[in-house]
Amino acid sequence: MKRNTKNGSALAIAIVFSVVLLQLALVYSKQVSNTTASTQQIDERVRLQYLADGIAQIALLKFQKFPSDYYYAWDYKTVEATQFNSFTTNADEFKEEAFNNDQDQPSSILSKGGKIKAKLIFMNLETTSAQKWEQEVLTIKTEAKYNNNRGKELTADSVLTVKTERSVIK
Amino acid sequence: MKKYKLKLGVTLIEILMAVGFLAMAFIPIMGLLGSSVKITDKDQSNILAMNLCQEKLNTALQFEFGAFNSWLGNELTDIEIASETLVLNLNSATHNGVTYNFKLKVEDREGSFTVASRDFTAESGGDATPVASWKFSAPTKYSYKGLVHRYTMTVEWKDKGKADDKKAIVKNYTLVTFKAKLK
Repeated sequence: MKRNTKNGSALAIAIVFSVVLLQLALVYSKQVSNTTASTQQIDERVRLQYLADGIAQIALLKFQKFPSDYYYAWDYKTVEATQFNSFTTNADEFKEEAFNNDQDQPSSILSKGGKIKAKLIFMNLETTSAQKWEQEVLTIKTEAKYNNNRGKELTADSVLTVKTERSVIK
Repeated sequence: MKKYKLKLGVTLIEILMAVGFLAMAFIPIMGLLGSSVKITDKDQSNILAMNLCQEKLNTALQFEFGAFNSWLGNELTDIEIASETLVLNLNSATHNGVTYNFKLKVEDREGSFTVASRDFTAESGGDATPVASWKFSAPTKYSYKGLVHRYTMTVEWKDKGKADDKKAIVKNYTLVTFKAKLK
């Protein structure tokens, strides 16, 4: 067996080995911190999702309470979109400010960032009875956004699709 | 005279220094391993808290809109009642030595809808008025009450092994959603 005859080689090997070990440790610690960050993201997304789902409920309620006003605004959209927008996305109840109060904002000790900005994105009829589908389908899309303390913007959407029936009283 | 070539191998000092280096490298690694185990434990309990919170809220949302109405304003055991607000302290759950306490708050969320109606009086053609000639009134706000409930589900817990530590931070996680009185 050939002996190691170079002076100081054990020390050199130990240093190299230590550096490798430390690098492994650094990679491991980075992985652990990434896991924590992804847990925070899950937490944030879940909170956004529930808020977006809730807003979709309110939007559907408005449609159910004022169906004729919605349909008139929808039909008039081909001429001018102002009426339709004031019923949907531009309505005060669906703007970000409407959900900016403390009661509507969920909280978490796990991740603290800015306030959640939630709003209605659209509330459209996907098909109309005049088309070959003979069914009307209303799609409501809401969105909740949030800037977390790591400077990342997270978004969650909620899409609610319902079959509707337009009755005309003559 | 036979000349011996001096062959220097690994000396005791070298070995000791090498072992010292390795030991020094191991100290932070061991510390790191220990702290990562703690972080993983915390992560696990955080994820579990989130999942349990979602599970309980989803269950509460399954009840029909009016399910909580009869309790609003009534005094029931273990239920805090505020004006038009119901607070239910749900059963706690213990997993891996961590106890999670849940609180569901159901309250009325008053609001208003902005609606611009078609103004038939301003149109001359009645029902037959072509779309391009339709007139609309100025938007009106219609206030509502008792049509939307705000659900706030809160879960509180302390880190593993700190249940009896009064100074330990009580962690909390809250989910908020709305349920409307839909047809």
